[in-house]
Amino acid sequence: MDGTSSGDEFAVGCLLSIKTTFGDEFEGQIITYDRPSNIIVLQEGLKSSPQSRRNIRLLKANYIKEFSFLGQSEDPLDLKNCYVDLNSLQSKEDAAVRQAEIDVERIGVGVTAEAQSIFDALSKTYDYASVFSLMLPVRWDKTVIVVMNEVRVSSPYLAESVTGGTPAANERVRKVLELERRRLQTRGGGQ
Amino acid sequence: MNPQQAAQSRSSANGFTRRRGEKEMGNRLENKFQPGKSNNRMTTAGVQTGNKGGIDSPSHDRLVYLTTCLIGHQVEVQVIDGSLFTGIFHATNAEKDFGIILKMAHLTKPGSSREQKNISGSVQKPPSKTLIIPAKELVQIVAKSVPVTRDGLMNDLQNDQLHDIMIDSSISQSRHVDLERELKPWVPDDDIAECPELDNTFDRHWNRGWDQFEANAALFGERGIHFHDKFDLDEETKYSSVFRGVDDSGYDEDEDILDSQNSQTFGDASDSLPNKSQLTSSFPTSVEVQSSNLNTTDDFHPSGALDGASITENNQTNQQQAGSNHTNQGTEKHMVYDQKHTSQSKESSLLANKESTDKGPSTTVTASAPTNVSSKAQEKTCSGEVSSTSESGNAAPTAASGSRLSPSSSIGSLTSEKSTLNPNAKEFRLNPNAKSFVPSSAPLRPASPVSDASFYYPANVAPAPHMHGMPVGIGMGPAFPSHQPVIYGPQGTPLQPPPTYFHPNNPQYGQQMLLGQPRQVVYMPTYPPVRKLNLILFK
Repeated sequence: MDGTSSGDEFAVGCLLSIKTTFGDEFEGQIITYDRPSNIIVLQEGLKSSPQSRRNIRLLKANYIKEFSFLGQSEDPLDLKNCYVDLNSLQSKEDAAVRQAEIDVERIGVGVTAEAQSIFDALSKTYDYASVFSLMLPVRWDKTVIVVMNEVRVSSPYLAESVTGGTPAANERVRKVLELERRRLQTRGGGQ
Repeated sequence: MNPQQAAQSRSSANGFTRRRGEKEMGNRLENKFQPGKSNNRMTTAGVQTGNKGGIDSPSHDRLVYLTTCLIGHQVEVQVIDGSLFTGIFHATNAEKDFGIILKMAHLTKPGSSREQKNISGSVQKPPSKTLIIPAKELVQIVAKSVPVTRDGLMNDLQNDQLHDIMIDSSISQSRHVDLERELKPWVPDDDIAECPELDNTFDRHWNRGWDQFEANAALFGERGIHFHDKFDLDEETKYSSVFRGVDDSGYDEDEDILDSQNSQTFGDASDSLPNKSQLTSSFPTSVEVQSSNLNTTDDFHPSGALDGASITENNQTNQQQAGSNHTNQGTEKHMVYDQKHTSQSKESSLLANKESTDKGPSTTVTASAPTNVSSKAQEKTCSGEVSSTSESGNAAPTAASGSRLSPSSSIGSLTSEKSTLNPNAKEFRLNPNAKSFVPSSAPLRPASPVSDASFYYPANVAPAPHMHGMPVGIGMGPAFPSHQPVIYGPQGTPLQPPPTYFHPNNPQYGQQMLLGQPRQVVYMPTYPPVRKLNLILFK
């Protein structure tokens, strides 16, 4: 326990099959095991061929219920090729956050699954508009679906709930709404 | 290196001090992270934990490296009560016990200690902007398709850049955006087939079976545009029947000659021609006036007072008039060809001529190009009313004599330099079988469901106005006495039960948390060029 590297490194490359206390089961190859934090890092899959992208799992070792040793393989990490560019990581994160924020706009909070389906159907219909405007033509405003910033569909999202916009736009939204409702019904009365 | 630098470099995986130490870290970590080598960068003198050796070990280095690779990646975190949170990996306190921080995280699977939401009730809770999971709560982190090596990282970055551009297309397809998702072609539902006008917005007028290239091939024996030797000639110069010389200065001497020929052809009417010399390429040929005493000013100018500057408008006008079967997406190439060989332009010019020939006698002005100088240009006249008057007889041989100057006689312009026919112009051939243009009553584009005025709405510029959960309340300062829940619902009330709360164990950590303070990130799409494009297309 003197922190010698030899004690830790023997685990690298081991192929294990693990079952956690929550019932998850998986197999993987050990990339590393860090004793102080008690975290074991696994690479999913048993083949040790180097890939650029891997499914990684960090697991606190104290939640391992049982495991079995499947074999020993070589180090999955090619130390010569381990490069990290912090700037690109930062921009990757920024992009991901941006995307997530956009996605948030598309998911209603406190709305029924049915309402969300209607929203999605409207989004698909107005998709071509988004190509040009680069903005969401359909968005949530609390529990109201707002289409092209004009037409509003509020609960209970019936044809009567469609308000606003030009008559043509209103009609359009109504039509899509009815189609979607019909579709939901034929699929078994909603979710 | 001193311990402080080492600590900062160690906390590179920890996003908080990234800014501070970034420069140093940029030097050291940007290119090379060698977890195996514990010689220099990863010295651990500054660590406060009891496990001296553990931090220093290559194992720990690997762990730090891998968690660094996770930054910005979508991960799924399981916590001690079994709940699953999905979010973007932001940071970890690698020096300590590896608590982690997620951004835009939301609960994907409630654990045992949470109330099960009613299935038909709310769909989701809003994602928290920042979610801190202490190490004690942490069970496991699962991340898919993590680029671990350098190549993978580069690919990831490129994919992200592509993904940014494709944001809209991904928006429309599914609400759970997965960067690694396999794209499936969109299959319209049966219901949606009832709304054909949307799907076929651009299909309808696109190709009514008219192949311009074939038509050209039939007429000219060539497909596409063929460049002459003088490559830098623009199309107008090439195909216009009027030769516009580049050099204006050289025309002075020619004007006399022009005059004489003009007067022969047109009588004395040529003086008062207001700049009508500049026939645009929209007017495919020059006009031969039959009667000598015809006032050329009025007669031949087809489409009104066109001049070279308005060639663009003309092209568009002609395109529509010429009955091109393309939508306004048709290219200019087509316009040029249209002008040359369809009879529509002739018709339009004739029509325009008729309007303008009030004064003149009832001679019909034929659109022909007798004076196209190019040797191959043997124009035929169109409507058969051409009689070879003496004037035209004069004009023709004069023109055919190869002088560039004489062709202007048909135009009748003296003053302007640009009065010669284009020697390079293609010969005009009337196509009697060409379709005549009839403006259809249907609009060029099927009516969109939304009126044009309200079609494009740039006003909606705040797509993320609401804060999705306040992040850490601990940013108040290093001393954090009360056990305040960290995660707040949108109304500012703590969620039930508070899944994580943070106890700052030491001032250093708390201080770092300051950097995690709420930052209102409002995504402002700024794509002004696209907006303009939109206006052009949809007006």
